[in-house]
Amino acid sequence: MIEFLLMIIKTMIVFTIVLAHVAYTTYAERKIIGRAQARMGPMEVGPHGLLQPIADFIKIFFKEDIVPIKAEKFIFQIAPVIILVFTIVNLTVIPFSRDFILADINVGILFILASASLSAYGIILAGWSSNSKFSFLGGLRSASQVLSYEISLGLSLAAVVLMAGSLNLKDIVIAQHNTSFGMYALPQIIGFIVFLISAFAETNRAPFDLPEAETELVAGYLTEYSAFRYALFFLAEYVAMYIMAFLGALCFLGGWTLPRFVTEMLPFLESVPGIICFAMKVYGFIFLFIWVRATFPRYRFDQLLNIGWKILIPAGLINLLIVAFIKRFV
Amino acid sequence: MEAGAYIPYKYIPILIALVFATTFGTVGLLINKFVAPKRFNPVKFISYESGNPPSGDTKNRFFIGFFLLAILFVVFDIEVLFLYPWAVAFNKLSSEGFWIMITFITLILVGYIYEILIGALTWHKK
Repeated sequence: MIEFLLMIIKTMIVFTIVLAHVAYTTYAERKIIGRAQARMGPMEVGPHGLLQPIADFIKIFFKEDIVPIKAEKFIFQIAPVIILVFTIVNLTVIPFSRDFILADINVGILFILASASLSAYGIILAGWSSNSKFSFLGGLRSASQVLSYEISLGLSLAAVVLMAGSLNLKDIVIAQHNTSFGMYALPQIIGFIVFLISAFAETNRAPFDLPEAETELVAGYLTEYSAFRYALFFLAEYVAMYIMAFLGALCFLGGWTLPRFVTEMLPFLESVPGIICFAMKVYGFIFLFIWVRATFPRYRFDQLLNIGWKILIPAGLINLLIVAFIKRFV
Repeated sequence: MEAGAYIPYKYIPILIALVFATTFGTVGLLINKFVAPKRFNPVKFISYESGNPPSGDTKNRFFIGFFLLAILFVVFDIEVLFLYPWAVAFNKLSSEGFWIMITFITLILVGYIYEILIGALTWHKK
């Protein structure tokens, strides 16, 4: 019973911390993009606009929740909850440091891939049930994009699984720490690049944010949503971004460990707690997500699918072959 | 072990997380429902089409490419799932197990390159 209570408390702590991070990621995004465009970003609410996310969060409750007459009411109302639930549940299998993980299951990577597929249902249901042309096209596009890039994501992660010999994220980090490079991003550079591009497309982030291409589709599958339902989609998108950053840091950058050659050169880094190492890597990924959004123009839909099917999947397969041969014969 | 006696303890946090996330969503929606203003206006409730009155039916026919893509996804996703057990068991495999899978991957790769070359994967062929 005590264990059960402890589990509930731990889950609550993780959720609160991640949701707070999500709130302030929106702030960071607006600030960084603002700076990139020679603006100041939010400045009005609190010093340097630091209270902006809290103001936004309160505001969202006071907006009218509109359900269009033509929408399929039940599905329309439940779709954002589906997306949020299947995104947020991934947080349980992420090992934040050596001893802090909520559910230490031995199929961690598989679980994340599975719930990523399930949250695609939420997108397509939202697009279909809104009964609006923009939403419908946005939903279709988004679904085909998520499906296409899931294959290359799976292939790049399969190479990691092959190298580590386990689907457990904790074992993968430990296996990485025992190699001479200390992280898989260096020997599997092709896989890492494939993973990065697929992660951008999986989370519907710029430059692959076609489902929400405002110049052609208004807001894609979000068009008819308002108030807290819209906020749920928004939360899910940012949590998904964090999940991808976690996955990248764990599978390619060595998670909470630092490579041996770094700690040998700079011994004082040994004393840095694992959670801080991990957080730094994750923040690096999040910054990359924002930086790319501020820099690159959006791709066209056929370009997006061509990159996915014609470049990333063959590259992923070749990477897998190379890794298999290296592991077998070197 | 008796049938039904096994409880997957390690998966309980996932269940807790599912419950939490659902409550978070529904409670937020309920608060929103009670707090938000309701000012009825029929125009608010028609679907958005850039300010014009909506025209025609939404459940229209759509481009077949989306459907073909979903079928292709099923094929390739199953292929990726074949790779996972092989990757996990890699250390325990004999050289036969290794070469069979290498042949499988190479065959898929060759077939795949052929598909690309005949243009089967090109979106919107001109």
